[in-house]
Amino acid sequence: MWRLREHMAFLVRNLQFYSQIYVIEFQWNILQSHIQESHDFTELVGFHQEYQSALISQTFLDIGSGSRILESIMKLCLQFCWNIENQDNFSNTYELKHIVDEFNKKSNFLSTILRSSRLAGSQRAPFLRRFLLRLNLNSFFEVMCICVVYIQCRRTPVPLPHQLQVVRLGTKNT
Amino acid sequence: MPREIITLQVGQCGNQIGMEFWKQLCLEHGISKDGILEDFATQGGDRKDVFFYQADDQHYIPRALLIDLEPRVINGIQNSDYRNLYNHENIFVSDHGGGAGNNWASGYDQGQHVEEEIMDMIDREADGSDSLEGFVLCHSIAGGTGSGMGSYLLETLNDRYSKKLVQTYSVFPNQMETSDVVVQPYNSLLTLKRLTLNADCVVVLDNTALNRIAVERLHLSNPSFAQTNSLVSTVMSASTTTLRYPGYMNNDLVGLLASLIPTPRCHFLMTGYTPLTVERQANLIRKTTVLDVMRRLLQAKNIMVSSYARTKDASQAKYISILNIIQGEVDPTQVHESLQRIRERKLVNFIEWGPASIQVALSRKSPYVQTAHRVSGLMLASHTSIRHLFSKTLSQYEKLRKKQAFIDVYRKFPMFADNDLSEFDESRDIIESLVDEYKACESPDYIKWGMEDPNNMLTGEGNATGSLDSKSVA
Repeated sequence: MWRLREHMAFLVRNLQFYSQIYVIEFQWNILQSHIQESHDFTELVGFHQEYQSALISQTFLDIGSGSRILESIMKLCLQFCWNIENQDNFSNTYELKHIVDEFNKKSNFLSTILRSSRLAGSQRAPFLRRFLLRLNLNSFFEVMCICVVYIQCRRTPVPLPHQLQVVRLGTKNT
Repeated sequence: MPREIITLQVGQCGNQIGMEFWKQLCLEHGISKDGILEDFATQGGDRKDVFFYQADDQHYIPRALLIDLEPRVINGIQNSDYRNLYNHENIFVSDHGGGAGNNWASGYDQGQHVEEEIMDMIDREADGSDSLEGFVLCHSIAGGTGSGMGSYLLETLNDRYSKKLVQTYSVFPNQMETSDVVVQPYNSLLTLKRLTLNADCVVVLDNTALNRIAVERLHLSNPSFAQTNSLVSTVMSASTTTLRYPGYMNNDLVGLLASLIPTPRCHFLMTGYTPLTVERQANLIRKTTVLDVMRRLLQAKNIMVSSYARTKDASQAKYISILNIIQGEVDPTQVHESLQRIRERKLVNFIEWGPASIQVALSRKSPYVQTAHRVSGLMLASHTSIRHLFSKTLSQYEKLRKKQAFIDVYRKFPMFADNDLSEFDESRDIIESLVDEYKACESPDYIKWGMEDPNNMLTGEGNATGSLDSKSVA
């Protein structure tokens, strides 16, 4: 149980830091400097729209699969908290196991999405690398991700391909 | 809404470091020695009420209890420049004033006898809080009062305030010189049991390392207690800056500790600080970057636990978690570059069985304290080499126990009456298990080890596993 809590806290904490420091704070500073320098209201409206677009883009709100997976992860965290607060004797181990499995599956899926080539070329790329660095500072999720994908691949009689194809197969299977 | 913290200073050492801590906080918040807010500090923006409350006459008073079994240190406080700062109703010195004779059993027994009086003081202080978050205990583990009475307080707080956090700043004895407390292994072992079972977080302050730092880094030939205590208070004030100058994250104690203690049993933290005062000269010349601070915090010479530098086990020791609190004018986006560089150079050896990271909390500095360095950093870290401190205590204890040395002074007290020394045996088993757990953390398959816990030694107690989770969730 403490392990699940720590994994959840780890993901939420880094997501919060990423959103607050690298997205909101960073974009806000850009907008502020535009406001300082601008003399044209119409131009300012454009800057503000750029600001809003950047926030939406860099927090993955415009990617259906990305935002849905994040939302479901948050729901799992809340469900976990609810269970802890309401089950004094921790007797409901089946539901707890379900939360563990779901969280592991969804967080690895999130990791796969964040690495996919669909995001690599966009304006998100430099900020995304920072988020991934924080999540994976000791390579734990990297190893876990490969293991999970490999397990899924074993259901079909194909040899283990190199990493890029593994990621693609993972995306397809999930 | 502030999350208040009550500080309990127990024993001579606890009161000495507590006194230095409150001096530092008064300086940082612009509070005079009498508890009056200075004219230059009235614009606010800081959160004094985490550690102070305001009396009806507008004085700021520390949320602190000063507890000792002999009067010398507390008398010194009451005769110092800061005599008007403290609430006199929050000071407890035992009636006989004879101390605990460096005997854990005496301190524990006296704590038992005056429990109601002290808990009344604590209850009154807690009633004065709007949203109490927890307690901070300052003590030494090797003497009689800080160890014995501190242990009793830890157990009592767990009983009466089970939903509140308990953090300790625990001073471990100097092992490089002959101790004047010959029974300190007994006292340390018995205290370590309570620190393991009844505390949520223990910040380990190792006098061996503090003396080394004072001699090698601060160039003090014969460091006094006041000087090493000043180092301790630097750590204490730095580790609480994010609580007193709130930012986006790490605004409360549970948020601070949750990231550092991924497994509730491994809640012993070591600290590192930079720049230590002698580095002032260097910083005047060159600008300090975030990477400079973070890299220096990982150097053995800045770390305040001696076991970190043991070379024969260094390759196996691993970080479980790290929190860097960086104060001063820094660009937040520099953090990323620093993490990248640290990773590329493999400066940190992390665990493999769970996600680990260097959490970075950027904190504002007090505008009222002038320092030569514009950036400073504190590292709080969970590191597996901490187990060597415990192993050392165990081996010292075994030597004394084998010879039955000085056991008689413990037999005089109820816990050890009728030659019942099972408390010693139980404590040894618990600390041995703790050492094994930290050793297991160095292995990639620690998860399997955690599920076994063959003696059910720690989980069976109910506090070690459940308490952190329930408090964190609450």
